[in-house]
Amino acid sequence: MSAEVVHHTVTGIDNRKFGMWVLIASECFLFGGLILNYLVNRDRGLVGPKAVDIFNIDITTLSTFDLLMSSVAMVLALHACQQHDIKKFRFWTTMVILGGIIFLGFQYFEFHHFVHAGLGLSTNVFGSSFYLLTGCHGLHVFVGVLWLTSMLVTSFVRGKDWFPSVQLEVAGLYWHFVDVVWILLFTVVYLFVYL
Amino acid sequence: MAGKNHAHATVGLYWKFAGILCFITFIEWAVFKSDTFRSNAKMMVPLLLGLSAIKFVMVCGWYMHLRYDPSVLAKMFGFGLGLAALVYTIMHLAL
Repeated sequence: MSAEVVHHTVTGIDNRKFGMWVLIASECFLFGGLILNYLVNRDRGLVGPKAVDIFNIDITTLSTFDLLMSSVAMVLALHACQQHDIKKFRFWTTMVILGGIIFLGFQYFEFHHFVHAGLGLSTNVFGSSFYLLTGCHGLHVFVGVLWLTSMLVTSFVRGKDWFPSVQLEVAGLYWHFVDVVWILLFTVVYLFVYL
Repeated sequence: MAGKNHAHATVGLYWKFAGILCFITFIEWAVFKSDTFRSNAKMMVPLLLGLSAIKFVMVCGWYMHLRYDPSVLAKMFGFGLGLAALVYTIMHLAL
């Protein structure tokens, strides 16, 4: 087992974890601004298709299930890591990564369909604000996939005695936040399409 | 807090929550598909926002361990969320 360095801090919370929470708090502003931008502009498109014409809620619900399940896999990966169970740690981390890749696949499919339906990035302000919001979220998922992949690869390089509990917990916080943002986007962007 | 053991949720509870989260998402989908709700925004909006809020609290509280971690983290997250909501409200009223 690799010895994890425990830093004594004023707050009593590991600095890496505290730093991630500061980042998450600041990301609330980013996504808050993007959601506001979308809600203001979604009905202002003068040309091209509107949201109600092109959204496919069935597909989006499936991608929501996928992201929720990847969050479950994330907590199970962390639990296995804390229990020093290398097989389950690697298995569940792989499941999280796969969940993220599948979600990105759904998003690619959705964007591809929308572009073919005539909604490009610059077609109208609805398209611009929609792609900016969901694309920014997709970028966060992509970063999470890269992050967890690097941890999985490192696990194989460093051997079966490497259990990065704190690092995985920090990566998990990021991943769950991305999931939480999607919970909001699914409701506000997709389910409120008729409002 | 590194190096300390927290009383985190059990694996069984994580799976139960996974089932509940999927069930709520299914309910959201069903509400969306329902003509009754679709034609009645006054019912649909609070219902969907409520369901979304339940999922939000479950993921933040248990999966992100806010329920078990020091309260300063929840306060910091709440501050970020609250400020974002305040900006949204002000902009919404102004536009």
